[in-house]
Amino acid sequence: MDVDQSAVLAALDSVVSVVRTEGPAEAWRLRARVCEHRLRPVEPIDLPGSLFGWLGVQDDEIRWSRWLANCLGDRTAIGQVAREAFCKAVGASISRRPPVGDCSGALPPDAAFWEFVSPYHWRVVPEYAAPEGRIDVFVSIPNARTTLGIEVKLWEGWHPGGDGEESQHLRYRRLIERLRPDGGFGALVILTCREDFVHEVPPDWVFLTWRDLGRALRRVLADHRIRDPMTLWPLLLGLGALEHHLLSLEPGALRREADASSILPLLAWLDYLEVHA
Amino acid sequence: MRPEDSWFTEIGMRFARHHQEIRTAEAIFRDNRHRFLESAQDYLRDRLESRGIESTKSSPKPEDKREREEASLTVKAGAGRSASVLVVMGEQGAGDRHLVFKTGAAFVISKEQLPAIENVRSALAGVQDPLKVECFYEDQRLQVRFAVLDVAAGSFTWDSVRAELDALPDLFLRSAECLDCLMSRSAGPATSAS
Repeated sequence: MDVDQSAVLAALDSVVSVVRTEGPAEAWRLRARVCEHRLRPVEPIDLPGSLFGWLGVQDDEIRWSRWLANCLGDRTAIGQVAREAFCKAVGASISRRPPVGDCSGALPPDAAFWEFVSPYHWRVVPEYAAPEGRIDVFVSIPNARTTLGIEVKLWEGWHPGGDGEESQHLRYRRLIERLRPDGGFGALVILTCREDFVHEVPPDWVFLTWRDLGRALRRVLADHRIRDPMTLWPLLLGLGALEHHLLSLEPGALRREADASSILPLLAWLDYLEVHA
Repeated sequence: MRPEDSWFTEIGMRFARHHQEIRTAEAIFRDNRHRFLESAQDYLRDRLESRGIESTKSSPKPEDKREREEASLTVKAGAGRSASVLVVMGEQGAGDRHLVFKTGAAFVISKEQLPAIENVRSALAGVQDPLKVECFYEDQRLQVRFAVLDVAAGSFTWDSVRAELDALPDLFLRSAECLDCLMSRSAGPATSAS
């Protein structure tokens, strides 16, 4: 081994020995902080394995958009929680980045509007096919005279149009504008894993990340107090898988003995849960 | 953690009593990392040659991203396809930052060839490999097994680095063979549906 290698290895070793000596106590402290925010009586990350992982569909955008559509359109407690969380997440996103005009160029729905529409019945169609294209989730909320298009993405960007074809976001804007009830709202939401994608999202689209949605689901689940986990299992399984696969949060960091190697994963959990370390 | 903080800064702030010690280590690491990677690159080149794989060294990229540096070897990978075998050292992820040493192979493939990834993934899944095999598409390349040694999580020794590099030629050969097979099959004459 030459001098350069041993210099690097010795330097790293000195840092690692600090982490090893001080790390376990820090890891225990962080784990306790995370555990204060566990959902009760069922915590999604405690569920054994991930349904998406087990089926091998964790990278399949269509499965994620179907899961979302099924939850949003559900008429039981699942739908109630999913719609409330989705609307809260959209409202929070609008507060950070107000959209400029809706499809008609009129004033866009604000955060309060989204809270207002969440209890209504939503007609949800997954993979809605129209001449303009196939949008991942199409929602109509008749009582609120609102149509909503949700484009679901994992890591990829807008699909480019073919020769002379409009890009995806322009085509979906036309679609929602066409289906918007007279005098009502038409809204467009892009849901993605990529925080940096915000720079590519037109100002009349609501930018939402899976991280925002996961956080909102947790908040709503905590408020609702899960009375009967059996009624919510598809939502809980999906949330656990979302956190694991799409947000790369390590469930193992909460299960295993706290040691130095848990520190970074635990910090990632605390950051996600918006809890100060 | 602020986005501009490095892995070392994060550790230094968390364990503040050792702040000075960590700053010194960081300076040594940054001054020598480049040559550390070159040593790894030389070692890897020998390993490839011992398997009959010719390679061309590319100079380590100087800090293309602030906290990351990589050294690569360009290798011919069958039917006109080129590939890189890479060793990378530096920080990974934003907000979930690890200091890592990574190795893997990257094959240039077109987007039309993307469906082949699933086949490569399943073909490699059966390979007896002590390290996890992963396949994904990024930067217009099929990236195979970017195995990661988290520097702080375990003992990071020259032996552990060498074990990584020893495993790479075999992984590269198997992946290239698998890609060749899939591509020649897809380029073959169309068969009528039964």
